[in-house]
Amino acid sequence: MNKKLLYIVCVVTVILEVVVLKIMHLGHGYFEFEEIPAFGALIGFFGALLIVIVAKSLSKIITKREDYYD
Amino acid sequence: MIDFIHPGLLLIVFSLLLPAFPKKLRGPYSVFLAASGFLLTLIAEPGLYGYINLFGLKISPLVRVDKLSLLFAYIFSFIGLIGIIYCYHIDDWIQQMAGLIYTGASIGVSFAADILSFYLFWEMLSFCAVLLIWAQRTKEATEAGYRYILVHIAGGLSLFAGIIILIHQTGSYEFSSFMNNSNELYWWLILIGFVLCAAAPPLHAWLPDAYPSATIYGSVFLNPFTTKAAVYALIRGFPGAEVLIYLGSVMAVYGVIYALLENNLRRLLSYHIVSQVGYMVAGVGLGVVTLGLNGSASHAFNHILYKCLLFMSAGAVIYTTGKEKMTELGDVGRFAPLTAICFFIGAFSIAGFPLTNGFIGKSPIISAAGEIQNIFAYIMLNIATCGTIISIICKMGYYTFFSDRKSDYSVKDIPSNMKISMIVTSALCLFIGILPKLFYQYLPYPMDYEPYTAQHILDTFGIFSFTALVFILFLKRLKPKAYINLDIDWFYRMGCRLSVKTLDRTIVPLEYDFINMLWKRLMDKVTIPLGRLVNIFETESMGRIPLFASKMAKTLSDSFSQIQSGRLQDYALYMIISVSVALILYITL
Repeated sequence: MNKKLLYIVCVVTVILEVVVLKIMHLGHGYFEFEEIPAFGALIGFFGALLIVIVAKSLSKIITKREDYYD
Repeated sequence: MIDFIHPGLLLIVFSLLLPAFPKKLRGPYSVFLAASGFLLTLIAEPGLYGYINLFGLKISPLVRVDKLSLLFAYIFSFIGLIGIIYCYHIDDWIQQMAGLIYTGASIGVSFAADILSFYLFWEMLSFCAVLLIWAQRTKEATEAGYRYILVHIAGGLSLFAGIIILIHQTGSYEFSSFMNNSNELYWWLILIGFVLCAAAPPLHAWLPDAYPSATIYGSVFLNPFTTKAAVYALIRGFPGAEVLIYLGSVMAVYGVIYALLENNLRRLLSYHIVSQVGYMVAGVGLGVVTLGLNGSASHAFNHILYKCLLFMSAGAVIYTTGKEKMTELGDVGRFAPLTAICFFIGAFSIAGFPLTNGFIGKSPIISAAGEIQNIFAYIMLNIATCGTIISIICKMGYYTFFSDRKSDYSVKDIPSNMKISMIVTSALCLFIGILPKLFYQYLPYPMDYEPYTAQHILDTFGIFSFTALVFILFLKRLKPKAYINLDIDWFYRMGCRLSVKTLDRTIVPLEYDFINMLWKRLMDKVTIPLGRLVNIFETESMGRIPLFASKMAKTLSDSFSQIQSGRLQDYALYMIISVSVALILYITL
């Protein structure tokens, strides 16, 4: 997996979000908090982080061996 | 002139003939039948048809064809055709017949105008589903099928109770919005029946339990019909019910959290059904603006396409390798490129990447949340998108198709009919994604909505790239492990086990003791004394009979032995006498 390419894509996305939405004003959000620069990137990062953290901490309780029900 | 032929009834009735066909004709016949069902749906004209006299009550109309029911009937009949093509090569008429009836019943659900025929078709869905699960013919599938049908019977009973109260209270048989009488008892009962079939937590555990246990062909039929029929029923009956906004938002996140932990391919996809149906349920709740309802309908339509594509690709992986756990797979992409391409089209669609039908399907729902200013739904649905990306594209895609091989398996090519149905569905996913306006005109309510705005596209790019970044950061920790995850079904699986154990400890010993005591008393008081009596009778009376017989035999043999002297001259004398007697007889006669 090419990690460098992904880092470049991330940076380009943030730049595009800021340039197109904040400097050129080519869009509007539904809420005020969407006006934060690079909102998509933020919700992507923290949303995924939240999902991973919740899933990992939940797995301490719910993850069992495959023959659990046998 | 017949102005309407019910495609669902046609499928149900004529699929019953399938077993009568010779083996080689079953595949072509089922494809022909599914295709004619699809064509009949395409030519159906909007309107109200049919009536029936039931116990002196005239129920009319029976069939309602409008834009909403047509949209669902189109996709149900189309995906039935795709599924039948996918299982064209198999030699198992039960699966083909169940698939056809399943398709027919879901078309019937979407066309039903009165609540009784709706209920009839609705219940038919569960029974077809359980046939498809049992068709796997393993112990695990049998048990999962029983759990499936028990949960659905419970939901069906709740729905039926609601329907009976509804008919009793209002006297109307019509199936339309119940929102005028919200929060009445029957409103809740019917809602519970519907959301159980929509797999909303905590009533969702039947879905990830049963769907991975079915055959690979069965799960292609299972995933579109029951849950999406429930979405249709919710759109029809509960538009704008506020409770559904929160239920759906929680569902959407709940499903992806579980999906992220899963190891079994089809169970991971099953949890994604829960998550995606969550969007639709939330959309129904947001239906105070028609954008929400349109969003639900369009998302259901598109979801059926890409979800079937994903299940077909997962089925192709299982068919190719014989494995269905990510811990045993790894590099399928190397030798099954077509499956990999189809899978990634489906995966990008479900995550809602621009130019796929997932993007244009769910955008209206999220926009509806924005328009109503519901922050909770808006944030939750966006977070669910992150979860979808990380669990299906990143985790399942990477660890199934592009990582290292983890176990030995032989590889076989998939039949061309499976390829055809996968390619057609992928093409349609992209086609709808590229030309959304063409699709939007079939939605139930008129709307002027543009999914491809700069804001929306860039937000989506941001979500995609940064979710992938999180996946890279957690690559090691998200590696699939050979474990299972407990869900709500733990309560009834363990509950049933506990109740059996409790019975073993309480009622069973009690019963045994009681019966044992009775038995002992019977033995002591009746059987043994009776036996003694019989014994006495035998020795006293019956014992004399053999004694008498033996005595008589002795007497007889004693007298007979006097003739048998043992001397030769006696025997010679007997011979001469008998020969002369014979001679005399011969001469005289």
